[in-house]
Amino acid sequence: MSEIAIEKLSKSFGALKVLDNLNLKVKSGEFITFFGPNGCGKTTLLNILSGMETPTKGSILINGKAPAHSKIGFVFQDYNQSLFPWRTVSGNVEFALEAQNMDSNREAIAENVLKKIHFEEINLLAFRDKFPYELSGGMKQLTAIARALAFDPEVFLLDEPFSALDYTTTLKMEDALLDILDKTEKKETTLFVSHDLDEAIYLADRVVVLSKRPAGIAKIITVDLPRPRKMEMRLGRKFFALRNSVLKAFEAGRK
Amino acid sequence: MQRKKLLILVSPIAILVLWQIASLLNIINPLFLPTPYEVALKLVELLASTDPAITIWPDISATLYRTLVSFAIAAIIGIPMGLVMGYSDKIYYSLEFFVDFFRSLPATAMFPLFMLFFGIGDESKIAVTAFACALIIVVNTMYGVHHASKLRIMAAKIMKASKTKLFTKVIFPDALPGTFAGMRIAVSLALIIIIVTEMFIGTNFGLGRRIIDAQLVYRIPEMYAAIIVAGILGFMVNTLFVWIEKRTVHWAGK
Repeated sequence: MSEIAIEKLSKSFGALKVLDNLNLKVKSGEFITFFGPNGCGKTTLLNILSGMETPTKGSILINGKAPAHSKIGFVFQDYNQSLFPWRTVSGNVEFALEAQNMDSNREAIAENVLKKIHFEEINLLAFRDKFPYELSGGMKQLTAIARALAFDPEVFLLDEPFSALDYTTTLKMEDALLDILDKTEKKETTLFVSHDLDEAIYLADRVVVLSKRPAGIAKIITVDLPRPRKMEMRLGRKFFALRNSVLKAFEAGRK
Repeated sequence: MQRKKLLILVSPIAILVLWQIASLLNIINPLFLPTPYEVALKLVELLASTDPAITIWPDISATLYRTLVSFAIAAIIGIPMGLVMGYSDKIYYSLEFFVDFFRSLPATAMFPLFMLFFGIGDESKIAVTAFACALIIVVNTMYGVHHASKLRIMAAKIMKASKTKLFTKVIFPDALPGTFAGMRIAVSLALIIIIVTEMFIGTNFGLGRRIIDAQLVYRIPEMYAAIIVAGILGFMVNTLFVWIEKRTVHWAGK
């Protein structure tokens, strides 16, 4: 169970200030989406969360530890560049376990994760022996998701994971992702960067709207839609109202 | 598909037809250009004869042996060196001049030098060939490492892969298509250099020696037959290598 505490977080690259005094507490098992203008520093925030970059000021603590000492599941936007093309679907998932020196039961753990992942009724396990280049974009990204979840991360980070996919596939992927998270024994604490307004609302418990660079938090909007989320909810009044308030905060933060 | 595959026969048939026409019309002195039939007859004789003075098999096996040993040595030296140079900027800058200089220097210019150190036996032929081929494998492997996906390396780091695992399980396989591209060039080059060394340095057996000896004493059909054998050998080695490459780095370009 993990809790994330972001405190007075600032990041600069030389004279360029990217993040400015971010404060956020994420409860264990919560699903947060970050939504903000292009180039506002969302990716930098994820890079600090994943331990790839260090903050200039302030801190991020995951269960009281620095990200570099925490188990992070990370899904990149570009699945072609982030999967290992010389490994099968199952081999890609097992890599996460090999990296952690988990030498026994790798196959069984990978199988267990793949079994939970469905794309329109098709189980990813059916593709375990396929290589990434034999799969569709959606299937590749699901493989990357399986790899990130396989070693039981403390935080699950996704950086615009569906933005390279077409609209129909994206809708299916969003449902597939929520479905996977429903099926994992422990509820993953998930931070998801999105540049799609509907997606940011549909997936989240809370939408964190970021302002333009240097990014601060413009507004945090709680999504009080019931779970499991259903396609029809996108058409409802409530969704519309949420959309309005996120967009209003986004517009205010963009100026 | 079947029809397309037959198109491979177009160029060899065209060459044979043109050759036959040139012979019939006496355009070229028949001493320098015998008829395809004469050459074919000689080729069959060289391949079928059991007479040790005629058979070409010892030459084929000597050339093939030298080529493959040179290539193996080049790969054993070149792959690790290329990986290290690709991985470490410091080592790259330290060795860059050495690699670029000797890569630009024709291997043939170094025959006398290698003969001085390795004598006139197989050692000098193999050494000079391995040297030239290793440089090509080094450079291509190094480019392979440089082109390894930064995102894959980052993904592995986030998963907390150790440095060793990062190298053996991510960077090495990601560089493998480059390594194979280098080895494919190197295996063809090895055959070329070996045949030249056989002509220049001299040997008892070898296709290069066979070709130059036939030419010196004007056994011209035999010269053509030996050239054709060398061509077939090169083609087969290259085809076999491409076959292995496609199966090993099956993901390349996909």
